[in-house]
Amino acid sequence: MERNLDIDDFERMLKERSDEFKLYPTKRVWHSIYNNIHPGKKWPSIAMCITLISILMLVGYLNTSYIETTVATAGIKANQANAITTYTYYPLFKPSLPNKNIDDNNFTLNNNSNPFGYSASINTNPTTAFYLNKPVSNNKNFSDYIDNKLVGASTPLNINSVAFNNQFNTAKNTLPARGPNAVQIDNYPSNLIAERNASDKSFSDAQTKLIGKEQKNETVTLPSLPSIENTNSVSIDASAEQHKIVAIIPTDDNANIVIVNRNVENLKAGIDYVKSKAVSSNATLLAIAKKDAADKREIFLSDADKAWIENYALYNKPGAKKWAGKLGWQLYVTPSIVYRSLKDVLPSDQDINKEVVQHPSMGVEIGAGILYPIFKGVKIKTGLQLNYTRYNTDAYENSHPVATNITLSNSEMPGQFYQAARTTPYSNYGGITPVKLHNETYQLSIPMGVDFKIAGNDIVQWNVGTTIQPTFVFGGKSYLLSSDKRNFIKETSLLNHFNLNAGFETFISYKLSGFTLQIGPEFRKQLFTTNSKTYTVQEKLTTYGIKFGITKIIK
Amino acid sequence: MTEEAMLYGCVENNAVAQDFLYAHFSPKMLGVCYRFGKNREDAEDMLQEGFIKVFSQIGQYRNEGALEGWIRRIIVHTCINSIKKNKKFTDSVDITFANDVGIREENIPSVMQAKQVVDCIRLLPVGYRTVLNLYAIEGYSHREIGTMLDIEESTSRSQYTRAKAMLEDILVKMDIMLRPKSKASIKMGITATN
Repeated sequence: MERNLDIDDFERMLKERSDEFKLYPTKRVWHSIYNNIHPGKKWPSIAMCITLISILMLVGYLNTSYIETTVATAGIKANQANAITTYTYYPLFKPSLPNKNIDDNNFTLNNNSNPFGYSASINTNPTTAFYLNKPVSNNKNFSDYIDNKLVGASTPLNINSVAFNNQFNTAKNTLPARGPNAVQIDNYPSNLIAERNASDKSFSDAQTKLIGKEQKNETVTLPSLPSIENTNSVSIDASAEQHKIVAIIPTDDNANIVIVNRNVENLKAGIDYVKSKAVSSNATLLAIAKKDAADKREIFLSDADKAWIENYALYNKPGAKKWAGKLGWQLYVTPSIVYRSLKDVLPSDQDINKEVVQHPSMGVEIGAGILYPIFKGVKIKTGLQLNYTRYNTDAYENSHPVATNITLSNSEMPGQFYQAARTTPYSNYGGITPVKLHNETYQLSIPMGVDFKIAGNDIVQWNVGTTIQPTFVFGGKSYLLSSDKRNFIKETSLLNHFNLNAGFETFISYKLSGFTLQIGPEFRKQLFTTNSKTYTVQEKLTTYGIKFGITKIIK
Repeated sequence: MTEEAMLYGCVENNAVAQDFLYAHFSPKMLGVCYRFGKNREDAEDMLQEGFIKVFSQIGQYRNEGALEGWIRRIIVHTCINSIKKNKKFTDSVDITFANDVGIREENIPSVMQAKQVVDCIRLLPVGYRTVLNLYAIEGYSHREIGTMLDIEESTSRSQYTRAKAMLEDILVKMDIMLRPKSKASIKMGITATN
């Protein structure tokens, strides 16, 4: 390389001075070099990002569902009260109920069977009606009962619930949560927790029903459970000033039930009243409670106040979230097989795809996303997806690298090409050791698309979906074909960092325990060449995979 | 860290060894890139691309010459490839009259700083600058330069002659060097710009 010419003083001066010249590069340069030669080291930060996104999604999900209490949980708690004399009390509130007299039939709801092996309503507070539930002989949980067979409340219950609801509205956003599903209500007995139950139909419709739950178990002694015919045998506590009768009474042969909640001067009068309401001689008075005369927490409200409170509660209900019950999150994974096709920009007599021996290989796509229905049977979706693509090329490795060229186009002068010198140990047509060159890319894409329902019902559906996927290629290995097609040159610097993919899929979905499972084939096509446009051989990847997904609706 | 250990570590893709090698050679190599590039950012991009090649090809280094020379060749080739993407080297400078000026040592001040020289070189049009860098500083022959830049050997010679004359003129105008007595006036019309 060195020329054998005399170097004059000027040239020597130039060389000496230039060699003395040093500049210190910025840290950015080393970071870029490091990231390029250690692509795997990027993974911790990407994994951290995915973890953070997952945590945020989880927190968001929990926050949006903090008011969701599965009443089944309450039922389980009731079940856990093993001792027959130990129960958990669940006050029931239905604030939107108008003031109704007990004589009205509005409190009667249909149910086909008595869901309770042993249950009762009991009042321990003149201002609060508590529902006592202890299922023992069937698997129906409290949720089923609340969903379908809730009965109304009497006037004092009604008043109280409105006041309670009003406080809840105020307190919801200011008081700290005591657990994910409960908030403490100020200015109310401290042992009461308010909960709302999203699975409750009445809540879903009106979103106003509250279920207060007494945190601590209380031990009460229930009187024996007399049949309605035996009411006369129930002993009357003579010391009681007043009794409240709460009863569940089968009112017809279909065991419709009604809750009766009335203050009576004496127990016998109450029992008589219950008896008068029963249409079946088999009706059973389940429980009778005595008013605690020492209880000072009774709330006295005028009719005008009651009306005002009810109106206030009615018009100040928490607004329903439009997306609640519609928006869903999805996790999916797609094992895939990756193919590539080559196209030589320069005119050639031969098909470039036949000049290389290449084999498809396994890739994978892993993603998380959200779906939202915009019309019936049409959902838009987006998310974040990690892609790994790989295919193999057959080549030979030589003991020494050879000089070769790749043809690049001049980016500033379209149509002009030049040869860039490279060295490589890999040859295409013959060499010492046969090797497989793994061409691979690591990508992060944002799929945006639509799913269409083709057929099916609420449980099983057939859908098709399509996405467009802006893609960031953050790493990979690429072996480029030399100008004479005789060598492969490892060159990652020409990888296109931004690309665009299109996806098409069809899948069968199946709803199971609140989740929607899906499976189906997916086709993914890369729209722009893998490497820079300056490289004259264009490469596009095609991926065929099977997508497995799970979707959950956010409530 | 010895050069041998550094080399072994780089071959094993050891980040510490790579960092050491980079820290050791990058200032001088950035100086090389700076002479070829349009500006510092351009030079840093060349340096980055060059060192990626160095680390990816370090297994091919046969210990047959100085490591610095091997790295320098890769860096220079990277610079040339980068420049070739954007420039045609057949662009010429119209010099009506230019002698092959013989500049004697007594004309060169002893206090002339490296940065002054490099800054003056960077004032040359890109074609001149590249040829001058390759011939006078990097030590390539005109034949090699012709191959590298896809130009005729004679073109390289004439470009160098003109580049040298223009650089001398710049150095004189900037009072970095005394004008040689044999220097003829130069009329320049630059058609290739940086």
